[in-house]
Amino acid sequence: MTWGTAFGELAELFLAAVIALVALWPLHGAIIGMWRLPMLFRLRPITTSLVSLVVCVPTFLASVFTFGAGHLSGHLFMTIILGAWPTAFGVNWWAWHSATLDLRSNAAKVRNELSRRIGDRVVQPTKAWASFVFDVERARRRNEYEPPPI
Amino acid sequence: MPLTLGFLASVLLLLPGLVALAAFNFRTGRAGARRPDLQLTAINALVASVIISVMTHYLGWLVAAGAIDAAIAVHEGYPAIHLGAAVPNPVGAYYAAVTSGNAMSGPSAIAVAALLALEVFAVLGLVTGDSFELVMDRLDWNGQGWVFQHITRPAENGYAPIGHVFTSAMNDGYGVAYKGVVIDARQGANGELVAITLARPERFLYEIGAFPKPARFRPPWRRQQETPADPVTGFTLHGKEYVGGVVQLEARVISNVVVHSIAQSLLDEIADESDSEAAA
Repeated sequence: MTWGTAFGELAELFLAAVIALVALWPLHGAIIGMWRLPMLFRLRPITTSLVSLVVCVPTFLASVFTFGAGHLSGHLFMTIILGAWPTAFGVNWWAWHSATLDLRSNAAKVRNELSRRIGDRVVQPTKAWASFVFDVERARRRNEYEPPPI
Repeated sequence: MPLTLGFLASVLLLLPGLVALAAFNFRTGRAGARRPDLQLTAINALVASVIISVMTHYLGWLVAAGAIDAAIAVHEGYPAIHLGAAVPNPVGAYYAAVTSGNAMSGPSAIAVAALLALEVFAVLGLVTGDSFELVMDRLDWNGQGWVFQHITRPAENGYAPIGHVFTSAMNDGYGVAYKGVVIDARQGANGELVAITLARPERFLYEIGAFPKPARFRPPWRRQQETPADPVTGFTLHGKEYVGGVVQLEARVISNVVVHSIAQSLLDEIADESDSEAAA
């Protein structure tokens, strides 16, 4: 984008800085969300598949309709970078929404134990949190764990 | 290419793998028992580092190709938005510069630096993420052995590893020992115990060689009756005193260590009962 004048150059620089800052959100989401998806799929395959379809297909179509056909890898890139975090968020929220209070409490107990160890924020079972699905798995493994015999 | 630049180029190529190792060492250092750091000189660490680097660069190549294609798609969809001249894929440009010895153009160099930074953050996101932790949870990746099975895993699964540490400080058959929750155990490169730390320990004396003295004369029919069911070991524990705080014992004073894992919930119940009894 170029305006040709000194003011235009300044505005361009400012706009670039704003876009860069805004772009941090999908970037952060992609970096964190991308790595969550394989494990989410392993733990909740049906939910993850459905949410991926709901999030990624409209994102891909929106990208194609907005910027035109062609450049398949570009559209895939935008779909992944914009869709990874919402997919992870959606799976997590749906899993929390469909869980019983006991399951939420057990997961929250494990999460808070970890949080206290690393100085993180304490969660409440009445409100969804980002790593709910993983904490449910941790709670399940903890219940199955047997220490070495005394 | 000069040796110095070649070394720098190699380090840059291996950077994602090195960052993964550093993040892994930092991550495991936060566990209840500190694990020995993965050394780059260890073959498995070096191989892992190279594999992670190669895979990261491959993914980086895909991401860069997608990003460049997306920028072109945006420009073609809306020609007013000009995001600058298209640069060659940074991974390919880097390898081309290294193999040819020619300097990269400014935008290419910036693209390489940006992609490298992205790769580093992506690796950090992977290693410090929940998925990685769940995958690595049950694996003794650092080769901790008994410390992993009897201290680290119980501590991470709701059990308190209670350690009895018998020291080599002896006087007249009496030795000093400590009992407490193991909060830190350090091992050397060969897996040997370097130091162990107990929280709120109790200190007690143990006695070696305290066999009951036999009577000078007993008739044969009494000797059979007085033989105990369990043989006497000659090892006697004496009264404990609460020390509190934290005690760290180094390997040179440790004679041996016994670890029992007790459910944390059970310890909490006992603590609650003790509190209520004290209040009454």
